[in-house]
Amino acid sequence: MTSPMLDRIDSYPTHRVSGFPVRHGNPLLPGATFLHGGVNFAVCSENATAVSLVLYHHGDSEPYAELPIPDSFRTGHIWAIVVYELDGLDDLEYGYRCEGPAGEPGGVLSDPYAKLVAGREVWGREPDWSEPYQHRSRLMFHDFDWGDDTAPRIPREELVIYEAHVRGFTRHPSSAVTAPGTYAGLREKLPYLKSLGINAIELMPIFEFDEFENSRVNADTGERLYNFWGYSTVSFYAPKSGYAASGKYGMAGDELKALVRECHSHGIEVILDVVFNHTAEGNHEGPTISFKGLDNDVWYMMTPEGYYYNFSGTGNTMNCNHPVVRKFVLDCLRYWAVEYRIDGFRFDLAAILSRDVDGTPLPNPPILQELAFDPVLRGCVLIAEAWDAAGLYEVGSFPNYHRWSEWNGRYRDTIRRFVKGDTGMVGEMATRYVGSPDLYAGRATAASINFVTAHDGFTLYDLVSYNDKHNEANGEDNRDGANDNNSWNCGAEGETDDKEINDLRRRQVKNFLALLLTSQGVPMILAGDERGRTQWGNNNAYCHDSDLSWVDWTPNPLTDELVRFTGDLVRFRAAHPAVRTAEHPTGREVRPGLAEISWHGVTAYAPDWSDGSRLMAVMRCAPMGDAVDCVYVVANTHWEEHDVELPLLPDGALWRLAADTGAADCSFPLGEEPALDDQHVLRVGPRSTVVLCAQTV
Amino acid sequence: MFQADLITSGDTVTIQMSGDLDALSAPSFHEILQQVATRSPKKLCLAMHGLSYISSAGVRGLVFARQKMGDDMEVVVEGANENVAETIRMTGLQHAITIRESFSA
Repeated sequence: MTSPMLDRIDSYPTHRVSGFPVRHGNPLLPGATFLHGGVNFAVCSENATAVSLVLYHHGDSEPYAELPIPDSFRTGHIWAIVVYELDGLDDLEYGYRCEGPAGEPGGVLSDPYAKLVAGREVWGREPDWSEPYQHRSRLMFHDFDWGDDTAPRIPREELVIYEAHVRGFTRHPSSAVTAPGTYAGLREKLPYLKSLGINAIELMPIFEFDEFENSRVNADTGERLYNFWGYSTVSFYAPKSGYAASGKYGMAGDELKALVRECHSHGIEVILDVVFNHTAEGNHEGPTISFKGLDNDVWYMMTPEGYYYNFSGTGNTMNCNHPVVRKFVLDCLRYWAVEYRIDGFRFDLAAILSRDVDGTPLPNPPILQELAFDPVLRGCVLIAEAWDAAGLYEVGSFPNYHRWSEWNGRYRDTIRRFVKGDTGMVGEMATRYVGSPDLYAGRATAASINFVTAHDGFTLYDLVSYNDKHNEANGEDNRDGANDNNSWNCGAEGETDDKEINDLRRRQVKNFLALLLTSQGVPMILAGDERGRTQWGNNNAYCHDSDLSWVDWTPNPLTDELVRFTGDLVRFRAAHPAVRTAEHPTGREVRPGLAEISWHGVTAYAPDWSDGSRLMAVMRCAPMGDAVDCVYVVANTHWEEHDVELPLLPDGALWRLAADTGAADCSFPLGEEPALDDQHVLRVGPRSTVVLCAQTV
Repeated sequence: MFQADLITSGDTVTIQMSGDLDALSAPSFHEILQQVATRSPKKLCLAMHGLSYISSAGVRGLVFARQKMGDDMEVVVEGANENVAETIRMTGLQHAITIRESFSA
């Protein structure tokens, strides 16, 4: 027995506008919302004196209707109308035309709340630049079948994050997926991530952006350059259609949801890299897409002289602590958390979100507090890139409400210098290694997102292969990209046939991975680093849609070895609570004689913190059931080998070898770690890291 | 010009489709699906050999078809071109809709 749907008695038109039956819309439903028998359109504009809803058939240059929204339908600054008898909703594109105080109507504006955007459905297809309405709002049907999908809800300190670009991950011909460079292609690669032990994937921006923004041809190479990374949002509610194989069918949302559902079924969380610090509208010379035409001085931080503040380095700065913008950001993230079941967000240049409307840093920024305490987002991880492009650096001081995590830039800088062999780094490396308690005291270790590399900068392989950036292919005379990379080429700049150098590079890559994956805090791996991916020294590959920025899946002995090593270390991390405690370890004993943490040197319990030291050794212990899990890690960044005395274990427990970067292809799957022949002295090779484990009762 | 012919054989209803399934024709396709739903067949076959074009509205029609029918009814797409078949797979609809080269009741 089924119960009949109840029709609303108030769902009928009361007026006619431009031939369409309409009625007063619901201003509390921003964007376009299906209602019984009609579609509710609502848009906010403080400055508009008149607003029209403009309707198009898919792809048409000229609208088929333009409906002035009666002033009587306006509530405050919200213009809302329900339109009935709209045929072909799949085919409908819409926008708004606003008339300002000057009385001159402008071009058609995208809906800030558009759930889908047409105009760039097929990646790289040259747009029709004569088309005045480029980014066209569409309706989306929210009828995806989630089945029995359940969010993994992984404890924060157990996360292992993998930062990936949707297109770059599978676009290379060697990916062998059905639809390279798409959400569907990424879905096909999930078994690979699962086999690595990854349990969270952080997707570089997937909000609709325009790959043709600042697109140009490199005069030297002839290569077409794009906005490949997508850190320039066109529409915050819409998934990037060009990343969907089904984008041309208006099914990008479904394809992305299918990816999220499949991630969850593999126990993998999905974190989105979101860009709320600026938009694609640029400064006064940039295009008017949406916000500029609706309420420029609400959405953007403006100088007293009327120019755009540029804390983002891209032309404009979103006014995130303005109450209207705040609500928009919160609504948006709630939408992604609910509609797409996203598990977390990483905020690009998040320090901007701590600035007041005039740019002044706030001690208690409303937007950050609201996001921290919002009940809908409560299960989502929130990660800040705690700096901006105007010098506000808040690593360790980002307003966090015991909720926000941070990309730990100081971890990155320290581990790079330490592994490179700089002196004076052992003390700071030790601090970073145990979760940076100097920065995050009183907060969980998961406050620190540890990373060696990210999309910005060198790949891991390039970090050990280049002293200097080589960004000539970007067409900016190598001026772009960071200069302070803390990299070391191991003896030759770039590719070389020198076996000794290549062996050292392989070892250094493993040293980074071994330390990263045994550090307290949350490790993040850049996609492809586990395969030795190179960008040939380019440390700012934002504009390349080519094998420079794609993950190469071609198997070779180096990638096979690194993948195996990475997988072994990720699984090691999962199996050993001593390296991923929720709290920072202290000297307290977990069993008599076994402290949570103890520091060592060439002699056990005698660490060398001197400036000339290049050796860090640490033992960590944590309860594991009725037993105690012990992990000993020694990193020797000196070019000479050293014999180190191992701390004694009680009750005849044995040290077992999990990984040794100084030995060829030396890492062991769980349960297969061999006991050391010599339980007292361990020889650590030049520039090598050794990971040992033991279990005591 | 979109055309859809209904053929009932036992517990199976087949919709033989031809022409263009686009935004213009999608509403009539939806109406036909509503008719089929009232008959409560055990299988619905969407025979697409004759379709020359299917638009986004047409693809969404497949979602509509799945939703109009009860959970215990099998929905089979037969003779779909590769684009449509791929779209069904990539958008995760393959759990709900069976894709076959040919259909046998």
